[in-house]
Amino acid sequence: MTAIVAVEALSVARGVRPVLHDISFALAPGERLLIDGDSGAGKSTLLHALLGFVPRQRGRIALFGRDCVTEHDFAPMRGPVGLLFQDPDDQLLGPSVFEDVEFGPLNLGVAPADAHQRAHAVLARVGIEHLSARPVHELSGGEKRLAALAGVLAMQPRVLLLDEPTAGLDEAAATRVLDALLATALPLIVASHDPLCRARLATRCLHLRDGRLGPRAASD
Amino acid sequence: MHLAEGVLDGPTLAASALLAVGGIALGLKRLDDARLPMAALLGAVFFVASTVHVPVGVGSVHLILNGLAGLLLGWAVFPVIAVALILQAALFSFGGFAVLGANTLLLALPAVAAHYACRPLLAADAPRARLLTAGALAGVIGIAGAATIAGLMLAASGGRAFGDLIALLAAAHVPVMLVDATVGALTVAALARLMPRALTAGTAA
Amino acid sequence: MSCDRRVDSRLRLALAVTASVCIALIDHGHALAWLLAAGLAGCAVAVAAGETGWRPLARRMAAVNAFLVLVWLTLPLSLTAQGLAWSPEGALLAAKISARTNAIALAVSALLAGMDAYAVARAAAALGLPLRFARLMLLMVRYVELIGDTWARLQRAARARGFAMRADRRSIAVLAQMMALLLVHALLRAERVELALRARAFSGAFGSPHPGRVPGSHWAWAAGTAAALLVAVALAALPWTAAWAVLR
Repeated sequence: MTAIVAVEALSVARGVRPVLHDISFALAPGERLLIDGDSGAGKSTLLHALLGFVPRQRGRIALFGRDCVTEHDFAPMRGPVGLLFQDPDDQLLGPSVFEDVEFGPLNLGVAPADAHQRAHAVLARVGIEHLSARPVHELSGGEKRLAALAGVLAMQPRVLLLDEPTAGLDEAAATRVLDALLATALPLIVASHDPLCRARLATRCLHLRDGRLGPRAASD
Repeated sequence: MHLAEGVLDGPTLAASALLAVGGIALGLKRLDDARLPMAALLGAVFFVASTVHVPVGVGSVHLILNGLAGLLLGWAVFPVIAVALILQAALFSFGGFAVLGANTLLLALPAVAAHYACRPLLAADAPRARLLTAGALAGVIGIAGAATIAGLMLAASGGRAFGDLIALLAAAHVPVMLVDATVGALTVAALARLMPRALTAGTAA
Repeated sequence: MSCDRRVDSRLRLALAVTASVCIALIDHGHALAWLLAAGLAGCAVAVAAGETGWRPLARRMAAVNAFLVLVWLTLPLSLTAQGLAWSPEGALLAAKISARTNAIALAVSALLAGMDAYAVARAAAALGLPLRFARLMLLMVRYVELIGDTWARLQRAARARGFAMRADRRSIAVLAQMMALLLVHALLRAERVELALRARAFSGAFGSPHPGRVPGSHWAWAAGTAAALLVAVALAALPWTAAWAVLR
């Protein structure tokens, strides 16, 4: 079975600063891979690189078995591969939650009536249908996280990349987000240092330190 | 500082509205959809900045920073200022809908002028003195320009009857101009140190 | 958004704009007086309907009249060799301007009572403004909250460390530094928003915000309000016709 995401010897630098060295890993179908590491270790950069948002120095990225090198290769992947950003305020455009959720499907060329239906369905699935008409800036942190997730799920992704999905949330809100993620039954790559995430989501863990990826040592 | 509703006469309102629409159209044309969030974010910054008041002597003045906005946004400052004025008119009755064109024109045109005058000073490795000059000049052009255009509009509307009013408005704008120039200068200098690419991000192709 | 259910906010905004433009063009003293009364009546209705209160209205009107102080200082008064002189023509002009300004402010306050920035932006967008302009307005309303929040946080942090805005050079320097931080914050967010747009397959063009239909009863309300305003103006003509008949 082909890996959903396969990365080989990836090296990424931000300007002159090297951030990721020789990263190699693969996400198999059904897996939920957790990558943890201290803040600033490069977790976000890794996720962004997987969607072609960061130029890379060396290495290979394959999504759904297809090598992705140029923007031309990555562009069609931004629907099948869903990315949940660390700060939901970066993702939520508004004006209302409903219109924001529709935004992704409309970009993919879905007909307005179908996009409408999809938005309703996904908001119900995530459990925030009652927030449909709310302006995005009136949501709480947890609600924003769920709204951003709904916006990504409305694009019907086949794999999810999650950047600190529970950061800044209390345990109740974090649990809601994790429940929603588990309910999607999608393979995931989660960048997070939250033990709750690790406990509830991860089927496998890797650790990012000094730009290198390795299995979690027992002492970590 | 913008003009209140009900002061200018019909022909002046119509002419300035026409010119403002022209400026807005030009600004919208130069703003592609992908850069709308950036323009909106910068517009939001200046909207919030206009609520800040600075104590001056015994009173206080509001920041306007239209020159700085123009310096960063270029022609896009026209629609951005128009949006801000619509919101202010609807929510606070600052200015108004009939005088919207006039207020947009008197704030945005000097802002665009500041852009053309000061942008060349913002080269990548510009010394601090030149950065301070750019910011200060933007403030001066922005406020002096606004006061001048407002004066012209009042003169066109009421002629000599408005003479004293124009003079008083001009005088009232002087402290505003000094504050905007100072804050503008220091902000540009600080911005260059914090995030050099910020100075050109607003109008990058 | 109860106001949206009661009366379509598009109609209210359209009426507010129309009323502003029309009243701004009226120079007839009596008409302005009637319009002032109509504006006050409208505000009373808005307060009674629970959309707003007298205190916020008073605050709004106070801000509006601040500019008029300058008008009253300069139009009727002038400095001559004998001291301050009072000009009745100047006073009449100042009075008409004041009446116009206040009549418009009252009418707009009454018509847009209870609408927040978000509602105004949606109404404006749905009234047929150019697409890009409407999008800009919706995005600005969305981000004003965010930036306002960030600014409040910056201010609180400064105040927590003893900073207070004073009329001195250091205060302005600190203010400029905070302003630069705010701009950096906004621009960094703009970069991330651009990535987020691309992650949602944004191809470079926004679609249109869809408006929906206006219920018939709302059109009736709009017609009624417009008629009331016209009556106010027409009433002004009555003293003239009566005087004309007497003069004949």
